This record gives sequence, structure tokens and C-alpha cells, in this order.
Amino acid sequence: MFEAKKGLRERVGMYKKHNAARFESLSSHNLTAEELALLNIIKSMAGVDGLAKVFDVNADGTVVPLIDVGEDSSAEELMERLDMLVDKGLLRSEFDAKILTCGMCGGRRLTLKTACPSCGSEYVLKSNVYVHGCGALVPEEAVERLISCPKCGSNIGSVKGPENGFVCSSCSGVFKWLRVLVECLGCGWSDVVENAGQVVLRRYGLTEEGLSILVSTDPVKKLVRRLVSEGFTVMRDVRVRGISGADYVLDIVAVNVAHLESRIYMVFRRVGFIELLDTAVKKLDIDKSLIGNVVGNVRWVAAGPEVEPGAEKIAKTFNVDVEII
Amino acid sequence: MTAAISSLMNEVFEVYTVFDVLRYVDRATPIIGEDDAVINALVVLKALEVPALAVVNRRGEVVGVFAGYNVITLLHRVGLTSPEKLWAALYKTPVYDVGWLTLQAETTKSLEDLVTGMRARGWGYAVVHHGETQHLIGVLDVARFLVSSGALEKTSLRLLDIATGNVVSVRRDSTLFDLMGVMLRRRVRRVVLEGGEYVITDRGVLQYLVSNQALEMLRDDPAKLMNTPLDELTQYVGRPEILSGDTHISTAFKKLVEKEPYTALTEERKHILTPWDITKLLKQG
Repeated sequence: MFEAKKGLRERVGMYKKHNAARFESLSSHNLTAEELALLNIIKSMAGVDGLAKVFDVNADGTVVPLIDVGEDSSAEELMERLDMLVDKGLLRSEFDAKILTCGMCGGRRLTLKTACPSCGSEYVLKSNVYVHGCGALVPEEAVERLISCPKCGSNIGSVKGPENGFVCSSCSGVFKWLRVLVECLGCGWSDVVENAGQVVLRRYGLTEEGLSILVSTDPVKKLVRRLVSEGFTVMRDVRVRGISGADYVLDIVAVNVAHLESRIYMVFRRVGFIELLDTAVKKLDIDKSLIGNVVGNVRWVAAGPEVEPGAEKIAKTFNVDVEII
Repeated sequence: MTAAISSLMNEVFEVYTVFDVLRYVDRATPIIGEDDAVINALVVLKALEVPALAVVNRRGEVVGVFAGYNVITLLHRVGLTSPEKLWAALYKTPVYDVGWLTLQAETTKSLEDLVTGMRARGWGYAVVHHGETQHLIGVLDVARFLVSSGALEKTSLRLLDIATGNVVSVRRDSTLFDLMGVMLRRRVRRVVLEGGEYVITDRGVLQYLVSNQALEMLRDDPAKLMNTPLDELTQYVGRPEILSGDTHISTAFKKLVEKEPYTALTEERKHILTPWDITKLLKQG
């Protein structure tokens, strides 16, 4: 008689143990059908390094997505969604390219010009230069003619070089670097390069967590995939305080705004008596209005890959549904 | 009466052992951990529709019993001072704090020793160790055994010889909180409703408390729940057997053990017979 019940007790211990370990690492975020589709697209487009080029910039300087985002969506919105998935830890991103754009019209048809940093003349020519000990730059053709530094007056013999440099034909200034100018071929705008616009493109790839959302056999993730494909927005590991003051973590809260339906899932490896009681105790204590975003009819569901015989009957006692994952 | 009781004791209680009673205990007693919260015990009682749970420690040893009376004890204690904290108390109070201790017995122990122990401590349950397994038996099981074995027929005792004369009753317009107070003050698990047609037991109170309606009220408006008039608990009261005081105890107990509330009242409603009265069949001292 009690032997069977001792088994029950042991299962309580096992349950607590597996609950402590939980399934795989879970982070707190929500997931929509669009986001799941995005993860799938990134997975299919990724190269050998696991990264996918999602954006490019056309001649007009417009960032264009390389994937179909639908007519109502823009590249900016796609970028926001991707960055949100990066924030959720489902995607990683790496620098791909930086595209300069016109500071006036935003176009990317720019030409580069160089000019004297001192007088602004474009008549600046490349020249080897020598560096004196005081820091003065001396053009190659002048080194042989000078006997003392034009800046500090000491002996010119201590110069180092030659190095690449520039000599302005207008003001005779000698420089290591030039002012860089950009000119837009579209609207004629011209300015120093620092004032040009820029678009940074990043490549995206799945993190381990993101990949596991797509392929993992973990019950929670399998359930997330199913719910999202059914049109639910899914939030995982939702923390809520019960009326008694006890704190709980709800495995999944799934909301379907279109159908005015919400489901609160507690996920187990095996749904049995103990698991249903655990769910019932939480259900009794939690005011559903305290769970953010839930709408309409709220169902409590105990779900798992296995369901013990007779579990449905006990579940009915507490108005809890049982689902096989 | 004493002579008759002594005779029965000699012939029955010394002959039979705990093992004999055990054969009649065919139901499994679910368990609850001593560290589990009272709310967990309540949902187990609700799900399995059983009267009591065995309380086990971390080694799986039965260390106590948890029944409706224990829930009543907790609710009344908290309800007296802070009814608004009743719901939190269910979630924060471990079963260990409100469960009863229980007797430990071996199957080879005589029925006399078992019942003597129960009567001496006032505990209606005992844990029986049988090999690797443990069973929970109560005075109702002992009564059922004595009825089934025909042992009670060997005595000439009548209902009035062992029934309790001081019947505890409450008015029908009393509240649930009043009822709990009466049960605890008078240390009884069965209370007769005014008029004597119905008896409400701690199990009946428990059945009400674990109903969806009562649980929600306990959570959302505990004061309202405690002030529930007993008139609203008609679904959870039972009709006692109404018997003549001259009824032979074998007949009286046979009727008593058949159904809840496991209670018999005399026609005048002045005496009450409960399973606990089976312990009176033992010679005092």
C-alpha cells in the first residue's frame, strides 16, 4: 500500500530535482511567429561561418533587405526586429560593412577628394617627407638644401625618413595627412568626410539558443515552436507573485490576440499526479490579471512529452488542461 | 456493563492482532511531505477525495496524519486574529506545523495494545509497519473489523452502554467559523446540527473548503468564507443513523460504519455513537 506511495514520494524528489535543473537554459523573452520565421530564414541563408548577409545598400544609398520582408515592412523595421532578436540572445551579429552616404540627399554615389588641411586647396601633391627631432616635417627636396631645421633652427642632420607625406602647392604646407572631402554625384553636396552620413551593415547568425529554438527536442522549445506556428505570441519564464506572496515562474505564457485566447503552460517531462498538483497550487494562487499581456479566456495547461494514465481526470478536478508535447 | 466489557476485551481484543485489522484496510493512504505547504495537502485531499493523508519525513517514514481537523485548526487559529492572512497561511504553513502525531505499531501487536494506545493518547490513527511497507489504520477501521469479524455479537452491550451522553450541537444559523470553534473547544470531529437530523464532520468541512467555490472565496474574501452560514453547507452534512438506545452494539456499529458521517444518534438525540466509542470496549485501566 505505502510502497506504491513511497514511489510517489520519490517522484516528488525527482520532480523537485529536475525542476531545479529545469530543462535547458531559458531566458526571459517572448517570441512571435514573425520572429520564428526570421530565425528560420537566417538559418537557411547563413554561410559556412554561420552568418547571413541580410542587407545591402543600393546606388541611391537606400538600405535594402536581401530577404522578403513583405510590402508593408521596411528595412528599418527588419533591422529593428533582428536587433531585438540579438537582444534576446537568439541572434548574434557581426560588422559587415560601412557605407558612406550623402549628408544632404542620403545617396551613396559619392566621390572622394583630398585637400590641404591648412588652406583647403586641392592642389596638394604626394611627397616623401622627413621628420626632424623637433617634430617638423621637411619635404624631401628641401632636406638637401637646408642646413638647419626651419622650425627649431637646430642642425637638419638629425631628420628621420623618408615617410609618405603631402606638400600643398598653394600654401607650401607639409602634412602627413590630408583633409578628405566627399562630393555627392546626385545632389552636388560636398563636405568633409566627417559630415557624411554612414550606414553600418551587420551580418546575422543564430546563437546556440536561437538554433535550439528551431531544432531542439527540449519540450519547452518544441512547445514554443508549435504555439508560435499556431499564431500565439509566446513569453517564457514569466515571473509572477501569487496572492499568498509566493513567487512563481510560469514556463510559457502564450497569447493569441486575434482569437482572444491565452494559455499558461507548466511544462514537465512527464505529466502525472504530482505535476498536476503543482500546477493546481499555482493556478489557485495566481491572479491572471497580474500576468502581463494575457487576453480573453485564460487556460491553464500542464504539458509534457508523456502523460500518465488518469492524469486528465485529476486535471479536470482543477480545471487544468493536459497536453502532450 | 464493566463485566461485559471485560469479557469482550478478554475474548476479542487479546485474541486479534493489528494484522487482522490490516486485512480489512484495503485502501491506500496517500502521503504528503512534512515540509510541504498545507495548500499542497488540500489539493491532494481534493484530487483523491480521501479523508486523511499520511505525513512523511524526508526518509519516507510516516510521522503523522493530516486530516480535515488539522485544516480547521490552522484556519481557526489564523482566522481569530488575521482573517486576511488565511490564504497566505495555507501557502506558508508546512504540514508539519499542523499535522497530528501518530502511534507506531507492529502487525504482531494485539488489538488491545493498539486500542489502549489510541485511547491513552487520544489519537485515532496508528501507523502500522508491515515489512517494508507502512499502513495507516484508524478507529473506523478497527470498528469495521470488529463488525466484520462478528466479534461484537459476543457481547450483550447496548448502544446506550457506550454512547457519549454529551452531544455537541450547533445552531443552524451559526457560521463556519463558529462551527470550527466548537469542534476545537470541545475536541470533537462530529457536531450535530440543531434539530438532530444532520451531523457535520471535520471531513464535511474539508470537502466544502476544497470545493472550487470555497477555495476562491478563501482566496478572495476569507472573512466572507469564515462567516458562511451552516445553512449553505447542506451538501456537506450527513444524516446520522437514528437508533434506539437499546440497539445491540453489533447492530449499531454495523449501521454506523456503512456510510458517512459514521455517526449514530439515539432517538431522543441525547446520545451519540462514533467510531471512537469502539475504544470504550476496552476495560479501563
